[in-house]
Amino acid sequence: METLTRSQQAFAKATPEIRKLVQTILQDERAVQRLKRRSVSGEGIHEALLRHVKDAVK
Amino acid sequence: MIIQKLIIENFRQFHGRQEIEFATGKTKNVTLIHAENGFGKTALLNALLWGFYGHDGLSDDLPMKGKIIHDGLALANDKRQGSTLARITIFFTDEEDDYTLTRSLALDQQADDHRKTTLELLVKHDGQTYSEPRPQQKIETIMPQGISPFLFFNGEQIDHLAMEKNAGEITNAIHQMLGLHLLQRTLADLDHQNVRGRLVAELRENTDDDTKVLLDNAARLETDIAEDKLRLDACRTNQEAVAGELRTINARLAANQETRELQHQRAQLEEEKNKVDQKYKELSVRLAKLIAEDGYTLFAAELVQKGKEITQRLREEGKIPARVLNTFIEDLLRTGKCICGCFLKEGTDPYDRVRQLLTIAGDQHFNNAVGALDNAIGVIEGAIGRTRDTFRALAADRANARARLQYIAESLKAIHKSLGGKESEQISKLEETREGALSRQRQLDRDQGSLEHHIAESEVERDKLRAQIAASRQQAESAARAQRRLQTLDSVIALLQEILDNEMSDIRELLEQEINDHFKMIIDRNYWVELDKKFVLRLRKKISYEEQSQELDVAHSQGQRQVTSLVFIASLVAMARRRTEIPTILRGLEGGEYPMVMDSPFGALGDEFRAGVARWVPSLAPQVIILVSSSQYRGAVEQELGKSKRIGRRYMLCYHGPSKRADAAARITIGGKPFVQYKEGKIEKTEIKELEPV
Repeated sequence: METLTRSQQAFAKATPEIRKLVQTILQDERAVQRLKRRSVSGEGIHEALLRHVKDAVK
Repeated sequence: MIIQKLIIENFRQFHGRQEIEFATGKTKNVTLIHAENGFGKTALLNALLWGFYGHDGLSDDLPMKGKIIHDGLALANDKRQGSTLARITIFFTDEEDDYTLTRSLALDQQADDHRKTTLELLVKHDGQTYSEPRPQQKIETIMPQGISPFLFFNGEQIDHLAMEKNAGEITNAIHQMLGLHLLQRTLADLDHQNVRGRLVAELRENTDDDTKVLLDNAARLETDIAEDKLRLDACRTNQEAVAGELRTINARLAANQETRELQHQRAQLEEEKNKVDQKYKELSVRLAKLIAEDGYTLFAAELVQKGKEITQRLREEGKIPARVLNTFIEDLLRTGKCICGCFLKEGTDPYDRVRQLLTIAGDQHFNNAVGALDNAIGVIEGAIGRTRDTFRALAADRANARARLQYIAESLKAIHKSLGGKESEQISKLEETREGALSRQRQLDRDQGSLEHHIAESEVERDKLRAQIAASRQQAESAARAQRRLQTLDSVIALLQEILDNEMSDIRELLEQEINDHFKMIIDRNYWVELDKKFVLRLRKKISYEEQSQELDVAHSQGQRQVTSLVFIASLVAMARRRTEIPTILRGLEGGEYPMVMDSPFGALGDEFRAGVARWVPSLAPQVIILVSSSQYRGAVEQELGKSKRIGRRYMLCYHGPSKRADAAARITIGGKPFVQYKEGKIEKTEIKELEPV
């Protein structure tokens, strides 16, 4: 069996909610990085990140 | 990124339109450009930097940065009444795309604002060519300016990379080249005023007074930390500027005929000072260790003598060792019969006399202890002598080192006085500026330490407050929700920071291994490199003394620092090239292919390092461009580069001008053929000539 790296172990230990939020956030950051703009789907990256956190904790 | 071709037009002393095609082969990946000092090596390297990044990309060692168009050309232009244009065109590939970058600056514009250049970037993607709307941002994504000092450098000035104050730059370059800036950027965005700041404001609006106080205190600390970090950045920039200033002053003093000798002596003394200083510290550590572990023996001589006298007396009295074992006496008393045949009955005289023997009898343990005592006294006596001798030797060495340091300090002072007192105003002014720069450097080093300490303390305090805020009980539903959101965000930040730290730690181990693998091929000594947690490069060695060994930092010579820095850069470029093979949690992470453009990489190196660098460095990077003078090239470099068969393209810079530097050769022989590389002429200019690769 392939052993997990320390980062993978840290990620695996987090709660499912935090894992999902991290994935969503990184997805947006990656899109922004690729597009070389500070916005994603017309929304500023900061607004998008804030929205993700608020959506995760209603 | 692979650079295919450079077209250079009216840039500095490169008049008219000239071009260089670079070697791009997998095995023939080296472009060698021969040029004497002062013939245009630095200007050529800067042509590439200016092309990619404009004025801000120009290297520290390029004088008169505002004069992209040479004075001679500007003068000719005035006569022609036209407008000369400096233009750099770079053809390069990155991943699957072809790029043509053109940066230009007209003479009129140079006079107005030389920083304002025109940049165009054409991209050929899937057979379609289009003009990139944000050319500078695009270049930044392909090869960020932050990593350019690692890819385009003057080899004689990279030795400072292996120093603690550059750890930040190194960490940043690793983030960029290995794709981890995604995590770094995300962390900065999450901690931004518009994200975390907004959630804090939401909680503050809805919470009770006690939590408000905690939030305000935390906010104050965050502001303090941010301000201190800005000050630290400024301090580091200033440190780098002062270091650059010192390098320039030293180079000018070394180039001046009147000061060359003294400056050379000073450079040697400063090099020696570093080594003796290191030795002094090593000796201090060894002395401290000796005193901590064996120092007591130096004060034990009298005690040992007393112990010896006591044991001697007891021995004479027959009390030690015990000649009769108490178990034997006890057996006689129990059986009631002496060995002489007498009956031993309690209360009788024979019984009492035999029992009296118990006071001088001992058991086996007692006799063992007597033996151990004899042994210990012998050992301590021996240790006293050894410790005393070692102490004297170390203390004498340390005193010699201190005296040498004192002598060096006085010699440096005398050199400073002598240079400062020169009649030439230019020299005395240079010396005065140098002294001022050294003083500023010391102050900046102190400021850096103090700021780092203060930031660390404030961060601990802030984290305590954040924990208290997270633990506070919120009555209102809106406050409780805001608190949960803030907690969730902080958990995400903490997790991402942990991931980034772990990824960096894994990379550090791999990079250290990679550096050492390459380092051993270049330096044939019992040294190794350690990359500490702050990514500071340390050259280490093992020293043995008195059956003990200790690992120590080696005081780098300039050559060792240069080799260490070169190997570090080459290893990083090699790792970026095979990024996909390195385990990471981030999916689809790609590193990149980067060229290494090295001006005078063999400068401060002795022959033993030159051969290794010439042999190994070209095999690590996908593309290597080397600018080299004939004195650096001759011998080991020529031999090793020839053997490697990696030279795909070869050029020389032919300089025209009224005079040349004394150390610059007018002719060069390459592959047995002589070439003229200096032509006397009124106008200063450099011609690029292609040669057979050989």
